[in-house]
Amino acid sequence: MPFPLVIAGVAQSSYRRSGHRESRLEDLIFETCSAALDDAGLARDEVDSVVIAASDHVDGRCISSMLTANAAGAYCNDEIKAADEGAFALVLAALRLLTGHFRTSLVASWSKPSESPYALGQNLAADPFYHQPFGLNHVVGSALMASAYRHRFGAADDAAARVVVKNRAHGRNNPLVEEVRAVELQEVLASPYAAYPLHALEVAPEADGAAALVLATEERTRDLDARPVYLRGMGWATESYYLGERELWRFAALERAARRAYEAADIGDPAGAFDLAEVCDATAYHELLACEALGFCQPGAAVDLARSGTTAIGGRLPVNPSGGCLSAYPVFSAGLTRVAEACLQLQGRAGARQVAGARTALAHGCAGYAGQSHAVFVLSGDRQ
Amino acid sequence: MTVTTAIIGVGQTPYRFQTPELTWPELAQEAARRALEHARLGVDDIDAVVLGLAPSALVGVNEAEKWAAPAVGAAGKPYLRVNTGGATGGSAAQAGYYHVASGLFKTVLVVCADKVAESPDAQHVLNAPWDPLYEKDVTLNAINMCAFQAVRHMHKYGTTERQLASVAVRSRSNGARNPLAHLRRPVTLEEVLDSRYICYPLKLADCCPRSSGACAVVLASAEVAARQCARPAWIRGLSACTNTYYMGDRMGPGAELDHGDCDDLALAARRAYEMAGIRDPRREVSLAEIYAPFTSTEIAAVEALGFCAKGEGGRLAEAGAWDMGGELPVNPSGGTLCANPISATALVRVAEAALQVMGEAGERQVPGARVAVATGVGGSLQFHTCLVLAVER
Repeated sequence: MPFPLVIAGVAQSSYRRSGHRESRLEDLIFETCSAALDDAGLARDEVDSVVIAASDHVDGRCISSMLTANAAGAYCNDEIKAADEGAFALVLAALRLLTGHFRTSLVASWSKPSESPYALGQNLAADPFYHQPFGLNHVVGSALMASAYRHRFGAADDAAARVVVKNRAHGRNNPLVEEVRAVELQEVLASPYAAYPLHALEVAPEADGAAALVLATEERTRDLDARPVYLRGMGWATESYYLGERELWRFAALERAARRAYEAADIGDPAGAFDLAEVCDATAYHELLACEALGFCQPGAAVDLARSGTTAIGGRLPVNPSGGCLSAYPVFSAGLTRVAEACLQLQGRAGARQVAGARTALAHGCAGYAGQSHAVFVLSGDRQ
Repeated sequence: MTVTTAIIGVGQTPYRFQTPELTWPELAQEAARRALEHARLGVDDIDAVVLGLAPSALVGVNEAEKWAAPAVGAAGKPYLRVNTGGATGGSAAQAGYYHVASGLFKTVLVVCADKVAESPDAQHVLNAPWDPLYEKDVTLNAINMCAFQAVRHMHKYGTTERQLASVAVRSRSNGARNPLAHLRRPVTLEEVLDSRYICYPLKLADCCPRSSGACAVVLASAEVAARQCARPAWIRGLSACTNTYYMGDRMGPGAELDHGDCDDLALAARRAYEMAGIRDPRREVSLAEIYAPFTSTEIAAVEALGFCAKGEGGRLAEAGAWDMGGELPVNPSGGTLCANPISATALVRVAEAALQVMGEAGERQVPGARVAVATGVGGSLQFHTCLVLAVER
């Protein structure tokens, strides 16, 4: 068995919807990466790998790692950058360690959307011939997904809105998230459409932030003084870019990714296996589709999870106890933030948002229009 | 632990100035198709896909890997993108290696494609990485950044413009034998020396062209390689090294790694050689495919790879040590000076090195090639990748 690997250090910046205006991007990265090394009790030269994930257009420079890699401690180290969602930095770092050539990797991702026109950048990610001109972007893609989901399952108006109410209530317990106002169901439903049928409050608000981890082999962590979190399995997958080729009411790629992760972690019944999940809720519908693809419930039944309180803190399977992206969405690095939050839960370090007795958690990252691409991790405080 | 990994298939499109008849995903797909055919595999036999795309601004579509996912056979599969600037192709090959060597996957497709000359001006795009307050306005770009390196090498070691020119003469002579090369017309020493200055000391013929094209390789575990391929190119060593962004920090009393040399590449090479068990690279390496977008870059890289001492690279280049038939052929494909589809270029080096150890390099074959080195360089000459491929496992 190649797994488990060990997460030996965790750090996050605060997540600010109003922007980290007093910090340059490289300061935000440096402080977060330094804190992750401190958390693991390691110096910069004690890691033999650095893996980062970031987006040129969010960072506002092409080949942005020219500047940012060294802020992430890569100087003279073996560093590689995933130009992909933050979760993929952890994927690549884990692969590196599993080759046996590396023992300890710093893993980092960040986003500072306050300094970039994110919606425009997301429009410019579309096929330039057919899709850019009609205004496809992340919100429009998600709206098409939401429509397909509602049509398929006859989901009512309140289905996704309840996820917003829940996650924002959770977010109020998370001191890393810039204070978020609690909302009532009616307020969500009364908010204007961002793109039908998505209400503005159902779309995650962009926030500046960074997350960093130290990933190590088990053998390496024997001499580290940390409460280890075991990475017991991971999976990732994409599907077609073309929305017309996909069943937009489901996250087919996440189903595949989860199958791979569960197989590695020997999880037979995902609905009963986790004490909490941190999933990418780029829109409220993302959480519904993710819960179904992850096997927490049957297709179409995620609505009931939100309605019954199952996914609220205190419920059977709290989803996004951190408040999720719906409280603060560090657009490109959200997946690594989800992992960091899951780690804090498993270490009992989650403060007011702590899920009591959490031993096993799932973390998920997602990118592309309507959830084209996914990565999922099974994390545990226990080795097996 | 480590699963022994090989390259069992290589696919390249011809490299040209522009390919207006193909979209960027179609271009990537063409290389992928050729690599699969070479590996005698179908797309369903591939377990995971890695895409290498450097600044997507050259292609003009953000996160264009998402757009290309179905074209490169990634739909329904594990898929991710890497970007380390010019080193992207080397990083993509290394990422592909991690997939297989980790034991999680048996066959992985690595694809890189670029359309450099279909942006309004590549050097406008390559001005965009620099500091917006201090550096962009002085029109810093890939050419003058490398010219600084060249000047420093000349200052430190007395390297001459004639020695630089000899690198172009050899590369273009090699490129004439490579049917895929973008520039296939040989040049004389006089022609190079008489070509106009682009940025002192680099003249037009010292510089790479802007190319469109794609490259793909199939990596496989030893078990699959033995079944699919009579003579796989075994990956024996690999490493990467990231240097500081600031070129000024690579000069002067406090500098650890000098901008005039490729000390960062030397660090990566040392780790890759150690993994491959290579002690005397000049004797043990049969050929090298070096990512050198300018003649001067190759001279410093040859030194960093341990083929000669620092400062000797220019003299030995002029003396023909790295010619075909010379002591250690460098860039038998014609190298980056004959084609530079930026995102793909470092993977082209890996692909060409693989073809050499597979004995399938055609007219550009180095007879009896046993061990080949492939490098990539990106950023402010700051990201370096190095792979060692060999006939023996």
